[in-house]
Amino acid sequence: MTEFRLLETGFLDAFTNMAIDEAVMQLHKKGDLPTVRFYGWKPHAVSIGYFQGIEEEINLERAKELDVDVVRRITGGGAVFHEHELTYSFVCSEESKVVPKNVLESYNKICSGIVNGLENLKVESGFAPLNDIIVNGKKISGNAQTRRLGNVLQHGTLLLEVSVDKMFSLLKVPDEKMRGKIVQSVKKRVTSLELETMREHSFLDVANAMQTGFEKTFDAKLVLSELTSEEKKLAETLREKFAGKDWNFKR
Amino acid sequence: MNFLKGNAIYKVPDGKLLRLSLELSGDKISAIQIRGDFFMHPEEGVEKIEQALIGVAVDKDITKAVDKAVAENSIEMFGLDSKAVFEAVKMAAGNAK
Repeated sequence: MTEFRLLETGFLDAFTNMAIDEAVMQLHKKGDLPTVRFYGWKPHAVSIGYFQGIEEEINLERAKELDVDVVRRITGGGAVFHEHELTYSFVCSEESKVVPKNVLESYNKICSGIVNGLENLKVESGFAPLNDIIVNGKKISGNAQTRRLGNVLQHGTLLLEVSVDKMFSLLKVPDEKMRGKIVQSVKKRVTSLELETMREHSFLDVANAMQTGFEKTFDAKLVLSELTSEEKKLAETLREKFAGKDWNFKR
Repeated sequence: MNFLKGNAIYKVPDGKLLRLSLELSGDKISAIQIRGDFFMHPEEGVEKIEQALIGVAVDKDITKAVDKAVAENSIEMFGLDSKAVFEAVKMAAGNAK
C-alpha cells in the first residue's frame, strides 16, 4: 500500500508552525512521500493571508494584550484565529498526481481528508468551493493552498471550539458601526466540533480520526515520522522570516 | 502635479473582499496596492498586476492592463477578477483626495 509521511509536531508558536510548513514544502522532492502534518498553536495566534494588510485587518494592541501572536502566511485567504483547533498541512509534488492539477479540484481532494475524518467522529460535512468545509450550512474548516517549486502546500483548520466574540475582538471590521451585526452574522455561519457533537474531543482523538480520514481519501497508510534534520535546520532559518517585522508588515 | 490618495473596499460578487489603495497623478495611477482575502497563483502575481497598473488612466484600460498582466504571467485568480479590480479602482479614484 502507498505510504504517506505523518508528522505530529505538537503545539508550537505561530512563527515555528509556518516555518515548518514552508520548510517541508521547499525541501519536498519529486518521489518523496507526501507529508501530512497535524499541529496546534501555543501561544494562540492569528494568521493573515499573504495578500492582507496587517494593520487594517488585525487589532494589534488587543493581540498584544491577549498574548496572541500575529503572523502572515505564505498562502492567501483571510484572517484566522488559531485557538481551539486542529491544524493540518499537506505537501506533495504536482507531478506526483496525488492531487488533481486543477486548483479547485485539489482543494476538494485534500479537504476530503478532513470530511472523511469528521465522518469518523459522526459528523456529516461537505466541501464548499473554494476552500471551506461546511456542516449543516455552517463553516467548520477554512483552508488555503499555495503551489511553489513544483509542490503543493495546503493547510487548514478544524474548529474544535469557537469563541466568535474573542476572535472578533482581535479583528478589525471594514465598518466599525456594523461590528455588532457582523459578529451576529458570523455566529450563525460558523460552527465547531463541540457544537456539532455536544461533547468534547481531545486533540489526540481528533488527530487520529483525521489520520484515518486522510488514509481513506488517498488510499494510503500514514506512517508516523519526524522532521528530517535538513527540514529542522531550514525551519529555524525560516522562523526568523516569519517572526520578523519586514515579512509581517509587508502589506 | 496633483497627487491624490484614495481607498476602496469592494465586495466581489460571489467572491472575496478586495481592499485597494491608490495614488493618482492627474488621472493616472502612480502607486497602487491590492489587498484582501482572495487567492492568487502565483502569489507574486499580485505585484505584477500592481506594476502593470502604474501609469494607467483610471477611467479606461484598467481591465485590459490586468488581463494582460494575468496572461503574461500565467496568473490564476480566485475570489477576484479584472472587472473587480476595475470597480475597486473606480471607487478609490472616486473618493481620492
